[in-house]
Amino acid sequence: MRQFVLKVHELCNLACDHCYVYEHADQTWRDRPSTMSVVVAERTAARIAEHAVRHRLPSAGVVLHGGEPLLLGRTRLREILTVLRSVVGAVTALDLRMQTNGIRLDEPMAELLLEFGVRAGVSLDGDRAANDLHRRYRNGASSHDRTLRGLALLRSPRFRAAYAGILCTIDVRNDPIAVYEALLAQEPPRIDLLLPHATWDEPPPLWTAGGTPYAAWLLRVYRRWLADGRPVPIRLFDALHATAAGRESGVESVGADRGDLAVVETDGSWEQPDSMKTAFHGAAATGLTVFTASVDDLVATPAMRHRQSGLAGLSATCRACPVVSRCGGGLYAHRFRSGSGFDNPSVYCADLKGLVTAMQSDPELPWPAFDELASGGGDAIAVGHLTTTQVAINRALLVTAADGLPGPAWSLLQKIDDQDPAAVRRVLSHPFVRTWAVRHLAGQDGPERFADLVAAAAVIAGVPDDVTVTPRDGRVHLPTLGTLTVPAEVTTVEVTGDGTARWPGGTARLVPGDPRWAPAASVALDDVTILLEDTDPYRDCHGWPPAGPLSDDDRRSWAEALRAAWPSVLRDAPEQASGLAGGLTTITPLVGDPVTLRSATSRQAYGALGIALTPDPAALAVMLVHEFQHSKLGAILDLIDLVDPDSDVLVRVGWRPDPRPAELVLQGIYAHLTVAGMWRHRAARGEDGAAKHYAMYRDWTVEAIGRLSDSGALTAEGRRFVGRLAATIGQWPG
Amino acid sequence: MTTTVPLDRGAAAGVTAIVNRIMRSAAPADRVAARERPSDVSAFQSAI
Repeated sequence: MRQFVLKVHELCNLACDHCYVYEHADQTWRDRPSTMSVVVAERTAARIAEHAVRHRLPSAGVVLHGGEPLLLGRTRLREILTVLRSVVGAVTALDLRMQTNGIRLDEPMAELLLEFGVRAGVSLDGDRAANDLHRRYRNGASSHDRTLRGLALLRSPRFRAAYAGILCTIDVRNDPIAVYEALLAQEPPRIDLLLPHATWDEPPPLWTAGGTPYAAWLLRVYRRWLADGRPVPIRLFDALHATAAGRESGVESVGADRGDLAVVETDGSWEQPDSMKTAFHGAAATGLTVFTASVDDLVATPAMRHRQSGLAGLSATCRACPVVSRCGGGLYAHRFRSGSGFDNPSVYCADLKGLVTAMQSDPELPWPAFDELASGGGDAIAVGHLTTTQVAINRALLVTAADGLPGPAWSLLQKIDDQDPAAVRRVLSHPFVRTWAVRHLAGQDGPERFADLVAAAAVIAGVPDDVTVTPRDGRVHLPTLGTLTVPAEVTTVEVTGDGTARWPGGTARLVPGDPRWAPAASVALDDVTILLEDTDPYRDCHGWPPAGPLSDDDRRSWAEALRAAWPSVLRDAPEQASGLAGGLTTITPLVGDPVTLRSATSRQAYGALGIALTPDPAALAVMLVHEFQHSKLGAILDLIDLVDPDSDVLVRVGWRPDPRPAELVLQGIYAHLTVAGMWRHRAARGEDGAAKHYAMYRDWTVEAIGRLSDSGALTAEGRRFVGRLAATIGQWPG
Repeated sequence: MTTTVPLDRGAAAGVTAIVNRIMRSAAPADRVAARERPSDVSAFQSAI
């Protein structure tokens, strides 16, 4: 036991309706003295000192708490602090803290904190709206201004040493980013985000069985905090990172750390941690006082022993859970349910599980890659991060859909993933996995496509297993491999991983030369092979009708056009070419128009471009580079909000007459910047009309960057992204 | 942090946030950057 909370003042000058001391099950505060006497303080200090000596503790922590400790006034506080420093400080290093609402924090009080080396944590729930939701005076008035005044004092250089941090109780009705930014604005040395105390009997606001609103709220803060480069320690996230690395969490609320905290009430009662007051009346009681019992006596009580039993003291459900070492079953008090007591998972179980697993498995884009992509370019390594995260997203979509997918095919996919992960990766890299998966999860499409994916992976891996697939319109499409034609009346086909297909009355070999098998078409460009996707039924996602199947002549024309365009990509888009070669996997030929060029990109099909064939290599090169920019940016937007999702700002742009949503403006900027860059290179070589094209795209891009930057629609990450784009184009001639 | 999502039904809880995010972005009408560009760039048309 190394930390002691001293309730020095039982009452508070606020009437926060979420306070566990006054508003939850325990009401023992009503019968206690309003302040801690010096006699109680002296006895408490003696017990802590005795314990420190007996166990040779290098340090002991004491937190002055309430109620509101500052209500004690300077004279009484000085008396108690003097006792603690002289008695406990004489035998061990004393870490003195205070938890306050900051309202009574003035200069003389701050001087007292400095004098005794007390560091104060201030309770603040976020911006004014968030704080006013609960933290009000008894008459309903806001406490926000007064608390900020106290915080301003702690931020000042003179009193900074007395500033421990901010404690924020979460309310998921508040905007998490606004709360985070408001806390950050107070420049705290540390932030504590607390789940509101709750039990299975009294669940927290907006709680539903199995729902994860608190995980979702915290993850928004977590991602923003990562994006900001972790500008301040956030105890909950740091604790979960520590448990992920196998270290102790350092907190009671997560991890397997054994509780090392005891409370002394104003009357000298030893109590369990304060959070117990949310469980039931008297839940924190131990029956011991500082006058009758030592700290060791307290630790020996059944209640404290159970609290300190770590993972062994958790419910059977928790002990069997794969993330138990991370969350540790959550805060002890949060496990309470009438009847079964504390032998339950936390009421926040689903949230904690969602939070820790998302922190483990979130697809991540490293910031160096982000910055490189944000400059408008991005080499094969930077784009490779996007490709990897897109595969992770496809896997996440499949896992989410798994319960509705055929069991044998699912088991086979797992087996192939173990034996030949490259085969699964190849299939799950196919752009038109996601076009199906999102439709399926939205209830707009059946599960049949899944068996096609598994069959393709089985054939690539060469496993001896069968997969039952369902033809549509007499065709079985095996993504990335090709298309099998079967008689129209056939309803199921068995595909074996050795490359054969059987149906009642027929068989085929899935190899070139078999009249029923049409291998997928592809074009090799240098060391890049691009799939010409003319048969996949899920390729129709580009807003224009897809062409296909292509004739041999069509395929030859495509190959010639792409080979003619590729040198222009390498020459005119050197910053994008290597990324394009690394990330572009598929071209979906579109039905052409006799007059216009036509191209498109779908947010749901990373790595695929829809293009109507043109014999003009320079135009085709521009389409390839332009469209792949959209693909890259879509993949970034899958991971990071660059535009405020709640923004409905419209921005005027040069390339359309009507004002456009901010995200589409960003897409336009990202693509047009590279098109401007290509025309810049062409103009430098003196190509006819290139200067005019360069000027047009450059002006559009520069103007849109300015307007989007001023729109207020960009997030912090969005401002960083657009700032880098501005820096890129700012170096080009005007 | 890892980009490995196990193909395991038990992994679904851990990917809820990213899947919800993807599903929110799946409104196809405004997520397809389709365009037609006549040879004369002054008549450029775009869906972005």
